[in-house]
Amino acid sequence: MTSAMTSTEMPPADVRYVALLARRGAAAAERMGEIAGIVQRAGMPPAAGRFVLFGDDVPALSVPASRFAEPDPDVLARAVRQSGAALILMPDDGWARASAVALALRLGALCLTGVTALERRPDGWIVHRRSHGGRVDAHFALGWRPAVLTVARGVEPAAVDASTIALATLPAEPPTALPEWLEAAHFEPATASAGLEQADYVLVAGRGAGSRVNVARLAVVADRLGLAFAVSRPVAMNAWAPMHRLAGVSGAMLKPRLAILAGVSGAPALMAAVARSRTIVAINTDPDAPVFRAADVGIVGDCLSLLEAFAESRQTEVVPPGSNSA
Amino acid sequence: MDALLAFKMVPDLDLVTGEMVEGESTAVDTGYLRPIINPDDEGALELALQLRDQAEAAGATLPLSAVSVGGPAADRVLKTLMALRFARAMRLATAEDLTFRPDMVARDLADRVRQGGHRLLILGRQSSDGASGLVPPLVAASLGWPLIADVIDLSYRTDAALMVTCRRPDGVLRLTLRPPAVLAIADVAASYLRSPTLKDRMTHGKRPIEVIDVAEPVANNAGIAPLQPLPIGYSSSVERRSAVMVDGSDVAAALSALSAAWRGRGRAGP
Repeated sequence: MTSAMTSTEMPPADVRYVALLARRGAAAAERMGEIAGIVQRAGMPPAAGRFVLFGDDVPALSVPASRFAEPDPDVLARAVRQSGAALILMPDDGWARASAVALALRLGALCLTGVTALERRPDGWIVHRRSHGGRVDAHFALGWRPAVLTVARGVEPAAVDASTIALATLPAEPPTALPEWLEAAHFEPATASAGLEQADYVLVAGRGAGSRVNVARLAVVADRLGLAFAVSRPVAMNAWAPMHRLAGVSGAMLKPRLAILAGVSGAPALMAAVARSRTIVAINTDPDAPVFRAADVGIVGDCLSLLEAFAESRQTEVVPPGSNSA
Repeated sequence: MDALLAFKMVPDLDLVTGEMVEGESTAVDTGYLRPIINPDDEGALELALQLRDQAEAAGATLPLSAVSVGGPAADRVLKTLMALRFARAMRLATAEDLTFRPDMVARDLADRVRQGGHRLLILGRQSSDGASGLVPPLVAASLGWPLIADVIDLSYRTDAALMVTCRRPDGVLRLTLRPPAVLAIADVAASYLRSPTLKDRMTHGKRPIEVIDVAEPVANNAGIAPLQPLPIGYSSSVERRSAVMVDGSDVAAALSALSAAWRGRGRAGP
């Protein structure tokens, strides 16, 4: 426990894995003491990454990993045993899931993926995760058994100062050679980014937009109104818009002040991605569309003509985004 | 190289318009929903067929077999796969509902891979209903094979290697891979399973599918223990807001509602 963890080593996104426990109720601080460890792939340089394991009472450990293979699960298991960790929280991409299972099998621990909340009850932990296409919240009782949990994307971050967490590196070298099953590997960093996760004002186009042309017209409307432009999964899958505009559990998780959902039906994967919006306006021709149940304002009508008319009406008033005077 | 494709039949959850669970419940009723191929598994099936197309164009062969664990709803898909020139199409018939038993599904699949001597197992990343996401990593652990996760494309190289494109949180990874391996497919664009030609239906579609009873635990358990307890209950995941509804046929009213939301941006409570 020597060097303080810098923000480079611990990007803000990592903090979300702490949040899970802090989410529910006033006993957050007390619960924090119950977290034994968190495993997180720290800011990954192009050639190698590492996992970080830390907790309130345990020194933080970093476990070397290559980009092409998760860290040696035996090394990870040793680190966890050293730490005395009983609950291990990990990120939730498919690669980390493989690590989570390998670790759980070595520790004799339970393993659940995509966890959205954790509750402490007198007889043990209750874990929540989505099932049935995201429509259902399933509850699992762990008792006090050790468990490795991968935490769903978009789970609310808690205010944890990562700079206070110390980090020590395990005395192991990151793997440099490719594993034997790998003949060649090439990584292409994502170049296009729509900046959706940081946007304060977003327009999301759904399948109800009806066509590629209409989606393009909605993108123009978004531009005129100064809104970031995102699309739902069916729109991206139809190639009506590029994949980097995808909002949803497999795309960007949004947290805007205002989200306008245009022709969005209300599929759970998208609604989970906009649930943290402060205000949600939904426009859909179907008055029974599920999206209206999760909206603050629901407009039954054609999203394109209404939004074009709205952009036209705003055009005549010079109102900077976020201004309350109009 | 040959591949085993694993798929699951799931209720078509896109047909659900209301909430599936009221309050706290101990069960989720999906019996009224028609069974479809799990979306990620359907993407896996079509990607494997495209991989076979490429192998055949290169003058090679890439035999495909399919397996599904569960009830007879899978049989019509298995028959379609036979018509699509799959070598074998098998259903592992189980006595109990395995929606929340990824350990048992993984054990049966690993066993099937060993018995068939397959070098590749290709399946969806997770099912839409149980959604544990544990089957691919559990099978990989059981077989001692690498798991290639979040695969979005496959292309044929040689009889001993294929190129796999995977999504990572910060970009895309292209791997040239030597089997054996487990490939978990996720979010494939244009992922609908093709239809067999009439000729293939007539020539290949009449071959029988295989139904194998796995109600009794198989001997070769390979040390897989339940990693996930059964759910103790369910509630709705829908977070309700009380929408103020506006009839958009009254354009002035709709624009006024939009203006109000626009002006109030950032002021409304969460």
